[in-house]
Amino acid sequence: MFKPERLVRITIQVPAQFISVATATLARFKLLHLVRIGETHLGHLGYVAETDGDLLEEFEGLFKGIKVLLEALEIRPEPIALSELIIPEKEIFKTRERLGEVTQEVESVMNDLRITREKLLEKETLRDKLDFLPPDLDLSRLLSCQFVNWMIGLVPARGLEKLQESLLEVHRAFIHIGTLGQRAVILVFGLRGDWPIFERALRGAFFEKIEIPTQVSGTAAEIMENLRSEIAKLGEKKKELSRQREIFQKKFGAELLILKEKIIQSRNILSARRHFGKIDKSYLISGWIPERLFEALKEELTKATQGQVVIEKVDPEDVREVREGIIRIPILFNNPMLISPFERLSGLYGTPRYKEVEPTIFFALSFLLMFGMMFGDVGHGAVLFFLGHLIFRRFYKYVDYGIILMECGIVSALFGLLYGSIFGLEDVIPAVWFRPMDNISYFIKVVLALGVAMVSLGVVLNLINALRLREYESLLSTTGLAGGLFYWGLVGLGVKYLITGKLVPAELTVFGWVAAVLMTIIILHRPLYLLMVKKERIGEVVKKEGFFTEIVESIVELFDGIIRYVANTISFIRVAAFALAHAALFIAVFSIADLVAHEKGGGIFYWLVLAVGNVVIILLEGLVVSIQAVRLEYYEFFSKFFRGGGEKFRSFDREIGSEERRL
Amino acid sequence: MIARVLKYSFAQAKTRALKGRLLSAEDWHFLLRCKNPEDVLKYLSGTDYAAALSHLPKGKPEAKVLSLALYDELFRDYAKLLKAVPKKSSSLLKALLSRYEAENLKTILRGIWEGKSPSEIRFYLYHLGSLSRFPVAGLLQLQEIPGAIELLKSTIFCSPLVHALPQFKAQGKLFPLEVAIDITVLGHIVEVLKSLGGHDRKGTEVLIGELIDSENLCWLARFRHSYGLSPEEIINYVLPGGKRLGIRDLGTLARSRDLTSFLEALPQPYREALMQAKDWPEIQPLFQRWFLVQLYEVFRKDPFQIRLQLSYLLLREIEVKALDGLVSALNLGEPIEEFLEFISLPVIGGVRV
Repeated sequence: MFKPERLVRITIQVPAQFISVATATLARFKLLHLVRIGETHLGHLGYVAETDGDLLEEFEGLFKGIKVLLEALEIRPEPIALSELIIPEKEIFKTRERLGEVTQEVESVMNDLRITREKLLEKETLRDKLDFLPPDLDLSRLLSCQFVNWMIGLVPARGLEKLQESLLEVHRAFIHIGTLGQRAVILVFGLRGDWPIFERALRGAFFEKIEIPTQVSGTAAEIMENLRSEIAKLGEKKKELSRQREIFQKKFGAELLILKEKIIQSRNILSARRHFGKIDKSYLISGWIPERLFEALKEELTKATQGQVVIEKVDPEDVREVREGIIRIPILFNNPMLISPFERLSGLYGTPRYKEVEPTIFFALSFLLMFGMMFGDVGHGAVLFFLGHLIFRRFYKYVDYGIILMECGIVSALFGLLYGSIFGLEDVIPAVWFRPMDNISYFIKVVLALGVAMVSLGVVLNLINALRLREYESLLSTTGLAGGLFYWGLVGLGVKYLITGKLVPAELTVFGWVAAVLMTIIILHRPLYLLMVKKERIGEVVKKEGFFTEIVESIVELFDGIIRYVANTISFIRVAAFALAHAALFIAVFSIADLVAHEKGGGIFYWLVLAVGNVVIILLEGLVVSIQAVRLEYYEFFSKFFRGGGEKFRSFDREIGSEERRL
Repeated sequence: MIARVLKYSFAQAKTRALKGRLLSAEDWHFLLRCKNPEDVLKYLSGTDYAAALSHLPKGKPEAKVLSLALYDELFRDYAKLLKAVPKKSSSLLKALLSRYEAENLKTILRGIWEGKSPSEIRFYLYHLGSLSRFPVAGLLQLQEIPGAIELLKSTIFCSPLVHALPQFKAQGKLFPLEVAIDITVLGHIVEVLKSLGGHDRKGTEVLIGELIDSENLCWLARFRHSYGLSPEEIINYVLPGGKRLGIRDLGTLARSRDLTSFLEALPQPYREALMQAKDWPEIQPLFQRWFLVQLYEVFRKDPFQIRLQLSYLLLREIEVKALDGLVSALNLGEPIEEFLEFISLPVIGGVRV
């Protein structure tokens, strides 16, 4: 949890005839970060990547086909876990045949449904357009005009003035009968002899003619009646076809999802071979896997290839390129289910290096704590929890956000209990701890203590990182042990003063001396490191180029560092500020509700204002509080210890997915 | 007043500094004596255009590549001024810039219509980069026009294009869509102008009005002379919102029998400015020369309003167009004297301020 998963670099050599089963086995393990052989030194030895392009293309075609089918049948995507071994060379036959059978069975109904929908849309659009005609307008009479031509249609409303101007010099009748969106519905009459002028003008005005069927007779009302009856019939047909589609959904839904997963896996396996190296009749695969999976993988591969496989394992420390800093060991997070969704948020700041402390657990816990403190309300917590639960159950792609929201809801409700607040009502449940609005100064002390704890944790994590990464020099710097001790001394004095209200001069003297020593160490940390660890002579150190520049830099860094410590700690006051803002928003909502309660029908408005107000608070405050919590994490906490620059572990399927997109 | 001064003090200083970098009469003297495009390039590499031209491939660049590179300098100025002016007034500069988005859109639609590949189409697009939020990548992947229009849902062009679609289908040519794009983008500038605050709106109204008049006159001349369209069709393609030319005036102009009656129907001061025109293609350069004077005049007036930045950008645009024209003329081997008839330069007519 505090460290990324321990990985080992593996190299697998397998004969060409077993490459399908070997890849399938690797695909089942998923937790393999592939390394392109061509990009390693083995690439220079003649190992060249090779995959069956035609087969891959065929799977691409099948994938497009099944996507169309799933969309047509409106089958929602769901995660499918396949337990069987996928061998693309065999899978293509099964999938092709089955997909063909299903398509044949559903095709006519789906086509019929599509055509019916199109027709329905067409008729409905015509109905909307004709809806503007005066009901008593006799179209049969219009259609029988001999010396006059007419047209009904739409023009952009802005162009009406221009259209009138363009027809200024001809006899015309121009009736604006309604508006549809940004367009005007117009009826234009003109003499047959002038009609070419009308056509040119209407063409320029982007006129869209509404086609009135020539065989219609009667008034506009009668035509509309016919249209409505046709629409009703088409609606019925659509309903019946949709019912049939639902039957197909039930019949083929699960099977099609499995087929789709098989196609994806087959495609992944084939694409993965682009990462492999091939020489003569032997394939070479290389990548990183969690150490705990190595034996199981070895066993499975040996079984699948009838023992004709050579697997080598190398510890990261023994990989030459790693030692030389040419390649980085990927980072595979190893957090429990409730914490892992926060990897998305901590990952936005950067990916830790392999030996760094993995900060997600600290991020998750402190984020939830701060969120709860700022957003403490039982009712709002419950709403967040249910929203999160809804996302968790309904939108599998956003499961992580669902979990985060549920956890935020729980801590928010817990702090609601501590603050005695439920939907802003503070007289329903007692406050187990305190009410923020009544104890502002106490709250500020609490959040300052939180700030001290977070900054201190940051310093400790930085020390651990410095030791793990052997950055001993930084132990003596502002962000290291020397800076930490200075900070803690300062905090100690502050706490003493807050508790007793005074400081003894001796304490200040002692702190002054300690501070002076620590500041000197910080300023001279570079030369001290060279003298003590690198065992260089004092004369050499002083004569080094840039010695005095470094000292000046250290002095500036020292003052910058001290200001940062204080600023980082004080920044946590925003936790109290936003908790108070949360309470203040409630006061505002209740004040507005009380105002409207005195109006006529005020009872309803009172509750309406409360409901709308609560929704606004949940959305607005929820967003603001999340942003503030993340901000505190990134700027005040992570900046103390996080180095970053690591490479994310890309599991087998993800790596292939991104490769596909690149191609 | 104080608020305006505070808001525009940096922008006006920046704009004046940029104006100082426009090509001078001396620059044009030497540029007009260049024998080939390479000489023009060589001379420009010692001017503000050096940065934009530094990305060109070595050797003799293709005319289109060179033309697009020259426009890069204009877009760089847009980027600088968009950062410098107050946010509300920047919408006007963005609207002005959207004319190039419109040009790109027309190029893309033309490319799709002609079945060109995405890379071929991209080659002809203005390099607007982050200045444009247009879904260019998505558009380039499409192979049919209605799909492309669907993708433009979030832009000002969608509904006008949807409205022009029936005519596009009926006529089987892109012309209705291209006209719809032009009308929309210039109409958008007028709309944005209306949303500006007091001084900015009042100060800019005249310039934008004259810009619209300029476009209308050019379109009237081009549609009539080059495309041979009928008056009743042309009237529908003009833009409302001009300074001196209303729909009724434009209708009269469109119906005029010949160039003489066209010029006589013009209101002053346009009549005087265009009186020398002997043929329809001369309308545009003559009007532009007159407009150039109006743009320079702005630099003598109250500088604490968006009008100053607008004038500068239009000046730079005219300069880039003139350079583009010069390079094209040299590429085609046309005599420079003929070319001079059709461009507006600060040296001509002693307009330089």
